[in-house]
Amino acid sequence: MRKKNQLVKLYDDFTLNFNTGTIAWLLHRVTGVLLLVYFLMHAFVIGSAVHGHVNFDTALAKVQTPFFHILEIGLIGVIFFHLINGVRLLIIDLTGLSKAHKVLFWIFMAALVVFMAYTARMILTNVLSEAGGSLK
Amino acid sequence: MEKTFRILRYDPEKDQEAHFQDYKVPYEKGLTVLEGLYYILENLDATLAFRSSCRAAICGSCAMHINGQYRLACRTQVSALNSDLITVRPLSHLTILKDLVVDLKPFFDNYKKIEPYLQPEKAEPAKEFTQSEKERGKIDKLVDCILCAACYGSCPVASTNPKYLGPQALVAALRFINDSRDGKTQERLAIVANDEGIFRCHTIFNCQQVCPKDIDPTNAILKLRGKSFMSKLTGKI
Ligand code: SF4
Ligand code: FES
Repeated sequence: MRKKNQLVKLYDDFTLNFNTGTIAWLLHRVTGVLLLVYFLMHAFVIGSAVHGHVNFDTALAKVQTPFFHILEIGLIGVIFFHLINGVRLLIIDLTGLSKAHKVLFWIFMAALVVFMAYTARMILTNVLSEAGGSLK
Repeated sequence: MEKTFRILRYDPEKDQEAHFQDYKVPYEKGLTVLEGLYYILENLDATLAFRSSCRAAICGSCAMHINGQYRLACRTQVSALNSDLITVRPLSHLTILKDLVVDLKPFFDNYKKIEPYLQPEKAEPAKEFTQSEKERGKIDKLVDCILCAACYGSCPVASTNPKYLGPQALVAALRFINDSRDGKTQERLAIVANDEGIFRCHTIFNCQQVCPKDIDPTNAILKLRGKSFMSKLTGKI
């Protein structure tokens, strides 16, 4: 039989064990990678300050557009998920409450939804008011 | 009434790839997945290979992936699956030898690494080691492991690194560490407290989900982490 590559194995494991633990783990990985990509971009923008403030201002201006502001909603979602899932695992690790992992996951996901609704509203309001409109 | 058994087949002598094959099995109340497999073997296809022995959830031979989860075929009632289609695959992360039979060597190699036998420190008593009820309580559940490898098959970490001890070996390590008759606690902790042991676990909880004996290997790993942390802190390992 052909040897499966790692991605196929990952896909198999995901579909054969479709439960909260696997979903949380996979999302944690994906958000981790996304955060790495973001930090590289972030370092690039901030790093432009090395070449003087004019450079920094132009680099910053490029990302201060409505498009990037809307992307920021996604970014905050990614950060928040990675953060609270990490906290969830820490709580379980330190307290030994391994059987509570599903309940904790759903409580934290509910918190994520509330937090993201608030964030999205805030950012969209700002973007719209900059563009001269309003959410109301 | 009939149920369709969709079974992953693979014969190394003639198949290039594993493929599914369907069989119709007559259903009657009380039919287990294992009995369904025996029906196929005896009446429809004598070439089907699978492992089983006790038919009572105690030998650990018949773990396989059945409708969305790793389970013991002998303990899984077809009626409980609420489906007319029963999809059966072998355990993952282990090489398929034929159909539902996998090569368990990596699993047992990992088990051997934790030295799964009692190693008392004290001189052997004339008659026997005694254990109080409380002492015995500390290894309750942990001793129930039947080495079925369902947890190993469900663990994505075991798939990325065959050297990872895996949930079962770690359960067994805690079982001996918690045993009042065993004297090699620190040595045992040293075996598991590394990146091929407890620190490789990503706390995915699949082992907890699938264990047919309700052992909660994730919890065993958390306990081992706590114990090895204390041992490292006090310079014992
Ligand atoms: S810990 Fe549970 S799932 Fe793992 S081998 Fe033992 S009985 Fe099977
Ligand atoms: S046949 Fe022994 S555990 Fe299923």
